[in-house]
Amino acid sequence: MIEVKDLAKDYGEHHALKGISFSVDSGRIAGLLGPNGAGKSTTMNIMTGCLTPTSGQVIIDGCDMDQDPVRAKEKIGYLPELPPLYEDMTVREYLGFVCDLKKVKGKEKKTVVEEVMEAVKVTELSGRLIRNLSKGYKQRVGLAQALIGNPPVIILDEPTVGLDPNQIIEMRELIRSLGNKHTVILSSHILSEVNAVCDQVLIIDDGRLVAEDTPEHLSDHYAERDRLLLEVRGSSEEVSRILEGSPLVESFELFGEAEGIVNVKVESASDKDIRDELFFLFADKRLAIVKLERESVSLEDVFLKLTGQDEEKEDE
Amino acid sequence: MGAIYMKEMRSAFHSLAAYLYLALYTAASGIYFSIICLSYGYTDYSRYVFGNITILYIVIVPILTMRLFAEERKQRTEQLLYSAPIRMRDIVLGKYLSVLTLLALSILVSLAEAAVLSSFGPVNWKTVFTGCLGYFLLGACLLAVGEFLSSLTDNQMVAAAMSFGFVLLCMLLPNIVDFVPSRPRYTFLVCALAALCLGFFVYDRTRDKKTGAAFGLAGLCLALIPGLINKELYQDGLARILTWISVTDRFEDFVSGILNGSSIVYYISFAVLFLFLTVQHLERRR
Repeated sequence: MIEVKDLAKDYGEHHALKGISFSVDSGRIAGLLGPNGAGKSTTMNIMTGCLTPTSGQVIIDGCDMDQDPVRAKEKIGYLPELPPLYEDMTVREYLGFVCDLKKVKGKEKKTVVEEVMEAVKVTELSGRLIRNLSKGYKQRVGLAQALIGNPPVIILDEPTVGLDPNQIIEMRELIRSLGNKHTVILSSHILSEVNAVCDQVLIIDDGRLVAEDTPEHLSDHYAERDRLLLEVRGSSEEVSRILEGSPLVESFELFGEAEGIVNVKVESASDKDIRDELFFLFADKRLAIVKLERESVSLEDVFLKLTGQDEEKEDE
Repeated sequence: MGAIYMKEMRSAFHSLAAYLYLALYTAASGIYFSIICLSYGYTDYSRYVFGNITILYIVIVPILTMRLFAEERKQRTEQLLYSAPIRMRDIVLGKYLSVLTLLALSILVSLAEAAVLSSFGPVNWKTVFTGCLGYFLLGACLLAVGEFLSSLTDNQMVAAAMSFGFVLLCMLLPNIVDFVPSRPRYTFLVCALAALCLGFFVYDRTRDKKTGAAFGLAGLCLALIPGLINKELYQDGLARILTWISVTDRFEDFVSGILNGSSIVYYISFAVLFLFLTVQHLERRR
């Protein structure tokens, strides 16, 4: 459906994209993930023909963006990072104009506009000037614009930024429902969002594609060793003594002790599940494990690892 | 193209621009019309009204063209246009036609004034029509430059200032011509600079140093050789070049009722050149 080959973009000396290749199959939802400035928006702008790449190729449904831009663009609906709205138009006027741009036939125009307004729930605001809409509604009108003409590919650049929690949930549901009929590519730096919505994750860092897989596979793949969280009734000295003496444990970290219960994080020395051994180890010494939890690797960890932000965790 | 055209027309009439322009035109042409034609009783409408109001273009061109691309860039709506299934030249042309329409509307005002005048005495309609045509063509070529200048920046005010400066220069050019040095060496200097600019432009477009250098050298030879063969050719060359460039110079013919084919071609090619440059610049900026 969508094929991106060796995409590179230079801004003078600065290399924004350094050769990105991926493909997204029809009917899937792909998430473009990466820290700010990694090249997500640049990639999307090139895919939609807003920017021309320094080198590389974008093929949408068999149409080359460079060779046959008009036909390729007919297949795309694009919501850029800032919704491209004419503030001096009403919602209906604006969507009508987009219909004209996308060559929707005169007769169908009215129904198409009604349909997309219904889909993003802005029908009751159809007569309002876009200037007077709140950010959330502007975002919806921007999305409505991308849906006009029912394009097979929909590209959304950070579709949930600036929305309130309820709107975010609605937007995600909407995107998921789009996945039935369209191929959707969205970018985000919110990992839970990508995890919740996408079938395919593309992680970009510093202009390069560093990983491409399903969210589950990525977590599995990068889960190197088991990490266990334990709560043990006892003193921290006893716990450390036991763990230091054990060959099962690669490293451990005590983090807090309250009311006779020690919290400890244990990293196993091998790939095997060491929960049973650990249980008997403490049982032999007459120390009770009151909680034992296996920490699974989240997409967040994978992301931090791949984009080299392990040390400087930013809360985004 | 139609969609862009309609959108621009709507936005012109939703904002002050169109009304401001039409009011300005009606006021300016009305002053000359009522004082010279009606009060003093001259029926040569073309000479006394069109001949005097070209100076209006200093304000008209910025008003009509400043927002064309600068505003799209500022509001980031350009992304909607660039990702839509239309060609760049349709965008440029759609916007251009919308300002041409406004220009044509204002000429209707003039025709109405001339019609009023005809009830008081014999109006030479031929000169009125050639005057209209000349005014329109001059405007068309200045507006094309205005559109190009608007595509250079995301700030409307900067775009307005640039087109203001350009039109002002055009208006002053006929006066400057008398003061430029007439020695051949200055002509050569300017030609050489132009050749270098051409070379740089080609390099900038193709990103190929050899092609750029080749074009620059070819231009340089072209400028140099006629001068070496016959130095006389370059006598007063600068003044002649400036006169040729000056868009207002040719307007005089139209006002006196002379329909000069070469002037029409000149104006049209001038406009086409700048529309082409606009398309090129926008494509390049992507």
